[in-house]
Amino acid sequence: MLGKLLKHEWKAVWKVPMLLIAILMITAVMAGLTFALPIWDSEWVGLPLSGIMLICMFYFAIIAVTVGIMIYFAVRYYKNMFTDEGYLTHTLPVTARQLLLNKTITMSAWNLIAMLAVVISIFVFFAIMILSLAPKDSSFTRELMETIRAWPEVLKSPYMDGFEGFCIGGLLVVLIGAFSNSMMLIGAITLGQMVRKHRILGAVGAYFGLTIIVQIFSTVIMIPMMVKMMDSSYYDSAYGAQSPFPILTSFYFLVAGVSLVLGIGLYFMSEYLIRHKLELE
Amino acid sequence: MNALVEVINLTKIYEKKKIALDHMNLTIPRGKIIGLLGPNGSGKTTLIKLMNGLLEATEGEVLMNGHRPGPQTKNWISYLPERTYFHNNMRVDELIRFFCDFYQDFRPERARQMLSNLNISENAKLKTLSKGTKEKVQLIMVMSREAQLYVLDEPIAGVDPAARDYILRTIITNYNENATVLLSTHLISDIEKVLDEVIFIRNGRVILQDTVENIRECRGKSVDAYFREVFAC
Repeated sequence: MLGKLLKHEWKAVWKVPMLLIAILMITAVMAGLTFALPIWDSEWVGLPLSGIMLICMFYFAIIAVTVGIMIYFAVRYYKNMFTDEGYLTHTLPVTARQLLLNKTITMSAWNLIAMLAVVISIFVFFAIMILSLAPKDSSFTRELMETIRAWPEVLKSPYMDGFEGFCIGGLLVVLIGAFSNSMMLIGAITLGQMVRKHRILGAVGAYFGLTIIVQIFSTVIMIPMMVKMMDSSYYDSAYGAQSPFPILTSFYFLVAGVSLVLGIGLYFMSEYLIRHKLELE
Repeated sequence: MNALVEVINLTKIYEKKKIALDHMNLTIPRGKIIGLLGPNGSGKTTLIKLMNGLLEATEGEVLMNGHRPGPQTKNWISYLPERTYFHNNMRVDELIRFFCDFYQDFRPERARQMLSNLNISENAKLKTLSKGTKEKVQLIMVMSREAQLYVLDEPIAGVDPAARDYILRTIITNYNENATVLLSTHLISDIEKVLDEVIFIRNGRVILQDTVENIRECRGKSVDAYFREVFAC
C-alpha cells in the first residue's frame, strides 16, 4: 500500500515543484548571460539595472525553490491530513505509519531535489558568468584543464588531510537535513492539531517552538566542539600546516547525528499523534 | 454472527467537557438499510466518525466484525462524509483509478455507468463541478464499492429533489443483500420508504432502535411523524 500511496502522491505533487525548478534554471541562465552582454559599460543606467534585476530574480528564484517547495508540501500535508481531504486520507485501508511514511519520503525527496536544483543552478550561473568573462583565447581553457589536472596532487597535501571524510560528512548533513527539515514541518503541523480550535496557529507556534528548542539544544551540544576549535593548540596545529578537515568532519557528523535524532523523534511523535489523537473537524 | 457493528459503552467527550456520546450501546445487524436519526448535535456524526476511525473514543469501543477501526475495517466500510472531501484538482477518471488502487471491492464499471447516467464527464476536474454534482460523484464512488457497510452521512442534504430520488435508487440498487446501509439524515420523509430500521439518538444515547414496520404498526404513524413527536421542541 505504501507503494500505491507514493505513486499517487508523486503524481499529484510533481507539477508545482518542477515548475519552480524550471523557473530557477531559466533565471540562472538569464542571469549568467547578462555577463555576456555589453550592458555593464553602458552609459544608459537602465541596461546595467536590468542586469541587476535579472540577477535579483535568480536570487528570488532560489528562495522560491527552497522555501516555496517546503511551504507547498507543508500546506499539502495539512490539507491532506487534517482538513476535509483528511476524510479520504484517513479512510483509506492503510496504516498511520504508511500515511506518514508516504508524506515524509515525498517531502524529503523533494527537499533534496530542491537543494540539488539550487546547487546546479548556482553552478550554471557561475559557469556561464565565467565563460562570458573569460578571455576569448585558449588560455582560459588551458588554465582550467591544468587546475583540474593538478587536483589529485592538491588532495595529497597535508592541508587536505581528511577531505574525503569531510565530503562524506557534508553529504550526510545534506541527506539527513532533507529528512529532518521535512520532519520539523510535519511534526509542527501535527503537533499544532492538538490546539483544536486554532490548528494553523498551533502549527505555526509549534514550528517556532521546535526551532527554538532545537537551536538551544544544538548550541549546548556544539559548545564542546567550539571550545576545542578555539583551543590554541588546534590553531597552532592549523597554522602549522595541518588540515582543518578532521575537526570540521566531526562537526558535520555531530550535526548529522543531532538532525537524525531530531527527525526520528519528530517522526515517532507525529505517528503517535495521528494514531491516537486524530480528531477531524 | 448477525451483528456487523457493535458499539459498546461508547463515550466521546470533546474539549470543554462537551459530551457528544454518553455510554452508548448499539448493535448494527447485517443486510439492513438503517436510518440513524436525531436532532442536530445528538451525536450522529460523532458516532459515524468513531466507526471510521476519524476520532478517538474517550471511553468504550466500536467493533466491526470484532475488529476495532483500522486498515482492515476500512476495507469493509464505504463512507460518505457530510462534506466534499476529494482533492479539487483531481479529475473524475483519476478518482476512479485512485479508488481502484486502494479498494479491492471497487467496481469501476459500475461507477462509469452511474456517471454516464448522470451525464458527468470522466474528464471533468472536480473543481469545475457544482457542489451538487461533486456530491453525486462522491456518492457514486462510495456506492461503487462492494462494501459490507455503507455509512452515508447526510447523502441527500445538498441536492435537488429529483437528484434525491436518483440517489436513493442508487443506494437501494447498488448494495448487496448481505451489506448494511447506515443513513444519517434530517430528511426523514424522503428516505423513510427505503428504510428497514431506525435508530433514534438524543444527547449521545440511543433512545430507540426498531424496525420501520413495527413503528408503523405499534405507533400507528410514519417514522417522520413519530420522530417529530419524540423530538418535539
